[in-house]
Amino acid sequence: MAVKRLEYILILLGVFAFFLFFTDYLSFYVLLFFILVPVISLILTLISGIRLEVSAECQNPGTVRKGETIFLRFRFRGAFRLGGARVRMKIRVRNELLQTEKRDTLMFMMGKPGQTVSYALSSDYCGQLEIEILQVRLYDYLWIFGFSGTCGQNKLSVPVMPDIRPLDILAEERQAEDWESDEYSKVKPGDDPAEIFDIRAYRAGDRISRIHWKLSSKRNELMIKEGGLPVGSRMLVVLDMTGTAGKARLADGLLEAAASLSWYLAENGIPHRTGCWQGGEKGGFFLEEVDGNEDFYRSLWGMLRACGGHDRKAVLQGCLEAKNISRILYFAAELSPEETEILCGGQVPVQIFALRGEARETEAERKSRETAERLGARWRDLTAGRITEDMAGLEI
Amino acid sequence: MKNRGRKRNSGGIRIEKPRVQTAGNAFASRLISCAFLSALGGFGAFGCFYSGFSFSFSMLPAAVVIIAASLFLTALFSAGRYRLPCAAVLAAVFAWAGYLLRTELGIGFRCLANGIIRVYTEHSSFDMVQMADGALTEAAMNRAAALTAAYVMAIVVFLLVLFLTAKKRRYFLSIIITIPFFAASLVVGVVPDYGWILALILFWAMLVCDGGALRGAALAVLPAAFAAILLAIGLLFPRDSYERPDLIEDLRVGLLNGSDLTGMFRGGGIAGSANRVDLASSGNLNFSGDTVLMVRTAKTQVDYLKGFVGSVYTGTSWEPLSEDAYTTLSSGSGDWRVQNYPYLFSQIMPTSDDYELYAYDLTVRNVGTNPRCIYVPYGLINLPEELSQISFVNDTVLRSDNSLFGTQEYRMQGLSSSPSYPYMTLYYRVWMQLLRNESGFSAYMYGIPGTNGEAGTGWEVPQEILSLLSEEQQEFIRTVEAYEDFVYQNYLQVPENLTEFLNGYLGAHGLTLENYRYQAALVDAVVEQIQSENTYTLSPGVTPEGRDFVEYFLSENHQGYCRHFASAAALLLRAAGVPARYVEGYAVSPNGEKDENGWILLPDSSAHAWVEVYISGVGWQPVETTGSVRDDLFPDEEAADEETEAETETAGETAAAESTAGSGAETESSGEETGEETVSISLRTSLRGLLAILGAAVCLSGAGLWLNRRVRIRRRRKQFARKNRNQAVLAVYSYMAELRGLMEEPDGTEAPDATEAPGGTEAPDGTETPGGTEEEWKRFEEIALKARFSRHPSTREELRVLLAGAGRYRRAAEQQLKGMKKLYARYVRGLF
Repeated sequence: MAVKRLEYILILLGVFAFFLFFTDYLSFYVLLFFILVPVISLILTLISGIRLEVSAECQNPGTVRKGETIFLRFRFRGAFRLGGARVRMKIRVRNELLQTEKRDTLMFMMGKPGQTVSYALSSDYCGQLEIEILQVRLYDYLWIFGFSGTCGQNKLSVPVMPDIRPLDILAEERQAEDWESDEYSKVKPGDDPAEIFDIRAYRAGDRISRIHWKLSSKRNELMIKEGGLPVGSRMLVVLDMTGTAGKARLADGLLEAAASLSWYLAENGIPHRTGCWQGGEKGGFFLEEVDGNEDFYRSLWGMLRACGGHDRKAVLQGCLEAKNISRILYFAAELSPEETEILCGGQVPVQIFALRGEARETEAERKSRETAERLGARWRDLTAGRITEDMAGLEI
Repeated sequence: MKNRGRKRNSGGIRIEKPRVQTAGNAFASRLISCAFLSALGGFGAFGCFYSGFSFSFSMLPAAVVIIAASLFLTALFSAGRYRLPCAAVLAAVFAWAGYLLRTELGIGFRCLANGIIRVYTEHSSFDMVQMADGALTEAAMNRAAALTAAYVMAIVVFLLVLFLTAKKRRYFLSIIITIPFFAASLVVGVVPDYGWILALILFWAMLVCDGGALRGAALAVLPAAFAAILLAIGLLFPRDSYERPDLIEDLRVGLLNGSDLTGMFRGGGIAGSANRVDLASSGNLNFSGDTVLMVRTAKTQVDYLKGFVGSVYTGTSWEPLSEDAYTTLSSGSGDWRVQNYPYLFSQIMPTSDDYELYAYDLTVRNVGTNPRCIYVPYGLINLPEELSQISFVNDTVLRSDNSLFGTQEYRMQGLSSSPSYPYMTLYYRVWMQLLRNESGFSAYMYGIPGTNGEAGTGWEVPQEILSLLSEEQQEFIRTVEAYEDFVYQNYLQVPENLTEFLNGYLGAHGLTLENYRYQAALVDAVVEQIQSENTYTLSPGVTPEGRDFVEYFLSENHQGYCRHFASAAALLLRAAGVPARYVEGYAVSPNGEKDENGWILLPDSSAHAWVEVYISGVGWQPVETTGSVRDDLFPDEEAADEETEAETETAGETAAAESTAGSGAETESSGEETGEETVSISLRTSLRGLLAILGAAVCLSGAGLWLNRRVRIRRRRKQFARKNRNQAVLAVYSYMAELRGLMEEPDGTEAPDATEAPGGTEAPDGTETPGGTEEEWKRFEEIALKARFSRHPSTREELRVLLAGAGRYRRAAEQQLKGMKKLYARYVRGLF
């Protein structure tokens, strides 16, 4: 505690000045005492005990929504015989999606061996909140001498869900059968014996060759193996967070739009994929199959950890290299004309959703839009906070 | 609890103020701690005030109020958001109560004020008038005073509780509130009772530890630990045996006097050492020219101010005599200090020579050298008790009492010296007393060896003579004799490994007491011998490791500055049996550079080293060992004339002026001879007489020419070594021009060595020329022009260049000039 040490140094300087200019024994007496006070404080702290352990837990079950209060609880444990121990804790709350963080320092006095401190925090934007205890130290009575404490559970992850907006759009499933495909429909049966979609009871008209004899003998009724339906390409919903660093509203809007569309597709039984760039040691462009609501939430967890990526080209490369894609639904901000050309120059039809923070279209955006339209792609401008309105009437 | 960073909006993340879940009894603990602290602070403050001014009214009302207010107000102000309304109400209640009790409070205030005034008047130089008390009885006044004290303490406790229960506890404000009660009596040096002081200090310590928030056992343990420490300090360091450290006192005095803080770090160099002079690292010297000492003196002669005396030579340093050595010095010296001996001698045992002496005021202001050194004249008049913050150091020097800041300015009185001092023995002084007493023992005295000025007397006054003197004189003589024994015991010592060398040196040059009747003559001979064999220079180099400083200087290097000369002289004199010490300080000339206020400004280059020898009838006296290095130290008529001449000289006029001066000098130097010649011519006696006269004239002329040459050479050396470098440059240049002029061929062509021989070519007559080109001469001219006309002073390098050139020209002239021209140049012009 540099400030406290400085304060005490100032006190000592004042006492020394008193000792210097006042020649009586009293000045020496006072000086010696104030020199010994830190020593006494240290000794008493050591006698009292310097073992400190802290653990953190989140009171909120599962996920939270934007603006919802997140309750954290920190438990401090130690054996302090005398009490009055000073504790300082530093925590950091980081939004992995927005790449923003906030730190806080807590200083308090422990009057008994255990102490619980409750924190309430909230986030105005969606994202993956990582809460970490950076440092916890125990101090003597003067806040001069510090001793490090140990952290048990010192990291918490709390996902803050985006608002899923109801979309007034028209989306058709164009999932064609592709007998050479390795993917099979999870909702419809087919005729491919390589993949078993379901086993059901015999119905009139079923082929004899499809009878599951083993199971039939067990169940004493004829059971038929239904083959899988190999499906072809899917739509790819790409979330590109490049250029949203420091622009929380933009990033939040982008994720919200992509998540809302993905939810709509999942709700309407349209299988699709989602793709986004995730950072970290095992970072890269990740694809998720979304066939239903469960898949959607799994994919949403991934999107919450999306980040800007090294540069946009890595994201573009990732989505263009994806196989069996019927259409790319690209959510991005500040797409340059060159990047637009790369994205739309392929064989796969592209629908670009450009999110911008301002209502007016910039010159670069105009050029990008023109480039996309020239290459046959479709362009739709979105504004943060007006997703539903901006996507109204969309046909996919 | 503190939370740094609540409710900041950073990337949409909001962190609310954390909540610490406290136990049910935490609130009660907090109340107890707050009440305890406020009561402690109130009692401490009141007790210090009460005991500091020794009031006599009852403490009980104030004590009750303090306790009650602490408890009540703490409970009230812990009510959270109702604190401020409660505080406002209470403030109104206090004010209303004060109004109702205004009469009593007024009386009480006057009583308290009178008590304060009484103590201030008793313990300070202030004279204050006490307030009128309305002729009340003492009991009534005490009652009123007690009431007022209780009222005031209620307000104090109110403020303390307010600060202690605030959300942001302001313990600094709490300390500030109590300080006036503690310091009120301290300002006049009255210390309150230590019991109350202990309580107040405990209160402050608890505040610093944020005692208002303590809970649990710490609430009891911490104050108990602090109280124990306070008691332990009082037991381990009792007041009766406390001695304030000198260093702290020096620091306090220095700061109060506004001393220059840089004085703490100044020191070193010549005359800047207080304890030791390191010879091993004495190499080349560089001076900044900054003024280090300012002197105001009424003395009309050169004054040697000594700052350091080296008594023990180690081969690489000069050091003072050890304190153990001084235990042998009899304690019967009384109040007479060796530093005052010249003055004491002149007062207690005066001679006719002392009547010429005069006392003068000397003020020294130390602005750039070691302020711990006190530069004191040899004729110091002031006795130890007359000098403030200055102490006499054994038998050597004076030192400032402030070991940190030294003494920046001091004033003392000195006694001038007599030319007869080198010969002033104790015997002579005793003899003069007896003569004055007309005792009739003068004839008896003539038969006793050891007359005026004999070297190495060591003479002791016989008892029968001693009894003829006054009591004071007898006591003084006994003291002096004892000290003389001490001197001969300690100040003749030389290192054993150097004894043989020194004795050999002395023997080789006949410098022994046997060869010289007077000690003074031996001293002069030793000094002259050293000066004649060694060259003064500021760049002699460092003494090689392992070599003795003096031995290297005398036997090999032969170059040095004052430190070398003084060290060598001191050792040689000791070896010769003359008690001598090495001294560093400043030699002040009344002709030195002065500022507009009359202060003589001594630059760092003025620092000097010399020797002091012990003379039995005077004490320690300085001996200049380095020679006339500084022209202003030894001003004479010649030097005054030379300065006047040099100011009007130009480069072109130099030779002509010198010629004129030379002729004049020739006339001056052979003045006596010329007169005699005139007399001899007019006589017209016999041929023998004429021949005798002519012979005498030739001899005298020869002697005159020889003397002329010596005088000119000596004068030229002085001119070259002038402190005013511009004048020295001009003098050197005029000398070179004269040599150059003389080396011209009869047909008018230039001498080859001066102008046409770049690296040394043969002149037509075959003499090898030492070098010197036209470019070089032009360079000399430029330097001379700069010295004559420029506002900037000539540099040492420029002077060195000229001196080197002059040396070359001189050697060339010595080689080249022949016959009469050479004789003329050597004996008439004294050019070489």
